Amino acid sequence: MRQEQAGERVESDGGPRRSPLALALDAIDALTRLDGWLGALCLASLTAFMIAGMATRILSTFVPWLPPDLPIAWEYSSYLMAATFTFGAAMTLRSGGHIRVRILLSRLSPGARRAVEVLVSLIAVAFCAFFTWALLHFTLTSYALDERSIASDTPVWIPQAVVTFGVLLMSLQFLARAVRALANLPLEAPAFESKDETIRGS
Amino acid sequence: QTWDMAVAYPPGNYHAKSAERFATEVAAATKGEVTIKVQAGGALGFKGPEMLAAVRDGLVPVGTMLLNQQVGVEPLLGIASLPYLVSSPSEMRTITDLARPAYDRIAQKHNQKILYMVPWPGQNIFAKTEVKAPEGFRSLKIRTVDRNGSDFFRELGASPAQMPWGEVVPALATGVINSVTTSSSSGVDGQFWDFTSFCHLVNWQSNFDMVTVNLAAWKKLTPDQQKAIEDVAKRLEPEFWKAAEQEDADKLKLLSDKGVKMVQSNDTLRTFMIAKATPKWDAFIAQVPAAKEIIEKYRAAVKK
Amino acid sequence: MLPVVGSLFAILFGSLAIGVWVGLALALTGTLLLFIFRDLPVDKLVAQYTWNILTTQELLALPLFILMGEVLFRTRLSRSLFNGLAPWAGLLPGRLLHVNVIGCSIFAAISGSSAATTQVVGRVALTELLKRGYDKRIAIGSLAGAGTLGFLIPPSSIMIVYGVLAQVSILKLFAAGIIPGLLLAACFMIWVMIHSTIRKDFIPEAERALGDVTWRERFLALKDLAPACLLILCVLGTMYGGLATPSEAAAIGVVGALAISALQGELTRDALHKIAIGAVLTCAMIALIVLGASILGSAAAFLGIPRAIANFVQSLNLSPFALILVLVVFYLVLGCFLEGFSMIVMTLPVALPIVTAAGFDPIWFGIFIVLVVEMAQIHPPVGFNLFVIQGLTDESLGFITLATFPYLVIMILFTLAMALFPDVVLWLPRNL
Ligand code: NA
Ligand code: NA
Repeated sequence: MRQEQAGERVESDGGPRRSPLALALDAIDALTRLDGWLGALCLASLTAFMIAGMATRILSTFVPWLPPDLPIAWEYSSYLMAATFTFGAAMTLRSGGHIRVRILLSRLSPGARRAVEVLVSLIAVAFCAFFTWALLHFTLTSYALDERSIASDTPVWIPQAVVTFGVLLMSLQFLARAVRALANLPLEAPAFESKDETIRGS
Repeated sequence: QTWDMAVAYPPGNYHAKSAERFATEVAAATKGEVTIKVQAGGALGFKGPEMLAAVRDGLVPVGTMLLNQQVGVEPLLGIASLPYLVSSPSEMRTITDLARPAYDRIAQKHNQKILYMVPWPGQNIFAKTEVKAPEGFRSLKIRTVDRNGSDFFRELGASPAQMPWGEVVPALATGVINSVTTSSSSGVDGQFWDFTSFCHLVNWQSNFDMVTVNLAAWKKLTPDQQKAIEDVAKRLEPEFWKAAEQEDADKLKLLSDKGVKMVQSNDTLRTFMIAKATPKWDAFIAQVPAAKEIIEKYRAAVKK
Repeated sequence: MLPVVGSLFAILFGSLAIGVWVGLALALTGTLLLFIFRDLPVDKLVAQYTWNILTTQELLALPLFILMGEVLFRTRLSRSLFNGLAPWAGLLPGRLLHVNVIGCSIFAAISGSSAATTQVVGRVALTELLKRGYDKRIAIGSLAGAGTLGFLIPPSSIMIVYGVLAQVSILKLFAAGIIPGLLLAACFMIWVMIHSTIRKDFIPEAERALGDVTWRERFLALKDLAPACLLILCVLGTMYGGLATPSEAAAIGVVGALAISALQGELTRDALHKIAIGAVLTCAMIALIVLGASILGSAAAFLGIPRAIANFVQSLNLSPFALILVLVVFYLVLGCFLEGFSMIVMTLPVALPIVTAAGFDPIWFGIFIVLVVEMAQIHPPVGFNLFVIQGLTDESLGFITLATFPYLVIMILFTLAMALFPDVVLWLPRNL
């Protein structure tokens, strides 16, 4: 009960007293939502690329002015896939969509559960920080060497930077989760506003 | 010292086999002080195009890499794969000798050292139907692996299609594509007799693999060990080159035995293809100025 | 090797037990093992792998099929599909529970991946089954089990990997998968019938009356199947008609599903919003696990774990059938922490020569490998189909694992039967 009140006070929109911490958490959430939408956009474009590649190949037989192939179709689709995968990661975490084993968590007292949640989130933050740093370094190396793809001569640091950004945001969301766990706030929020016919949680 | 050696090709491929041979000889020459574990089939998770970086960063101490796949990082490594620039074993030797100092510098720059180089059999065209005249290219929906290949076949009039290897077999089976350009080795790896009836021996492109060692790993060896390994590499390289020629002959025979008809390229076809190929040489020089000297010396040497 | 394997299990199970997200736990285990036991720039390795895996073009069908499943979930397609099938299901004990197995068998002919098959069929069928009041255990278990058919019934991504590595005809492998695939589906259906006959309460009251429908009603109901059949025909047609590769056919599936949804007037802004976000969430969930599993897989390869065990198996000099028995156990153990592709790539160089020396055909072994990889998909702690179903239902992994257990047992027995009667596998490719 107390927990929910605390949550409402800090998280409610436009409340009179909003701590800098709550603002930071909200900012991360806003970025996460934006990222999720960018992920959806990437998914839609990758579908479009695959269809376009196929259509070009089939139609060019009959339509003389069409190019015989869309050489970037597969390559760019794969970049968009990487972007979809990483951009969605933070939002999936926020909505509780990443798979985990809850055997221990479900048997603990609320206090102990919070403690374990803090610990687990901090482990995740540590690993994701390493992960983000590794990808950043990787991207910078590609940039410094002006590495190109062999399929289309595209500078690969661009899609790599996109993936790095997605992973950075996942790290931030894990950090936000650790903070929420410490501050005894609700950890997860559904991605959809309305409860629909989904079987999730039934 | 125990070194992992990353090989992206299947264990049965002759590059994997020559790697095994090299490993055995190195163990013998260093009395077991240096052992190389060949990890074929991409077992370590490396697919090929990142191999230069993988050896550079010390992710694997030794790796074998297709030069033509490293052009994203070092465009000059594509020099020997220009269409119709290099078309015979002796020309392969000439270009390798001429380009080797430049390759060595590139390897040095990427924190590695070349141990030996082995050619691939030439790139041919596997197709469901026979291409008899230049117009025949228009009916080809051909799988290519990179931008250069796509550009070349587009200019020949074909419809190139870049797709991942995993899609090639279903695509050939259902007719999404009707041809593939690759070497006799890869044709056997992909069991192409299941789908294609003709192999056009056009040999439009040469490819090379180089086996390199990470410099940090190399410097951990004693001078005696280094010398022993260099000697093994030097001694085996000519053998591997002979084996490469033999490999092409064997694989072509195998394909032929399995029912793939070998089509010798006729003069009209060859002239047509070469005419489309030669402008690429100058275009390459314009893009990679360092290639100018090598290509000029090479053309003088082979009178092309 | 013992300290390596010991730390692997300690780190992996320890982090999973305290609730570290599965994908992260896998990646973390692989990374830590390399830090401890190998002198490597692990950061560069992890970054390179991540890039390689996330941009693997062979994976492209997965996000596309996930998207297709989300679109279908927002249409009336599943309800009309069930309305069409219900009078026919009345003929079988188990009623509509067979929809999972039949649906997976059909979708397996479209998709080369087991996770995609489970996700799409689950998205369409599971909600409807539960809404109609069928028991969760059979609904979930049969979905997890039958979802693995995605690899066995062609096209199959696993067979392509195996065919290239073992230099076996992929076409013959595809052919070899058909009969075992149908037989395994039949075994699943028989079990569903037995199980639902023993536990009558698993079938809701209303559905038991389905046996009393007339044949006229059955045939009239067929028109409800039209949208689903049309979509399947569309995807299969573009693929087998030579217009699309398997991954491109998945994109056709998305467009087809959108078309159905639009024709039914259900493609509202709100629906599009839910489709988009739902698909991205599922993609990200599965991708994190794929990524973690691949990082751990590569770490295991660097540490030589699978090879060491395979070499040990070789040293035992077993009789052919005992060898297969031991290999099943070996792959079950590997499947605890590795995903299918890593398992094949790492063990094949050692396992294939042993098996062919014992007199087995490489094509037969390809089907064997597909079966053990499928088992790895449905046993814990790392089982992709289990994760996919957790994503679909939010049930605990323990419950899903228990519900799936009978199907795992069926698959093990089925695999051993294939070892006793290898001609079941080899007949079709030989007579092609
Ligand atoms: Na399939
Ligand atoms: Na498993």
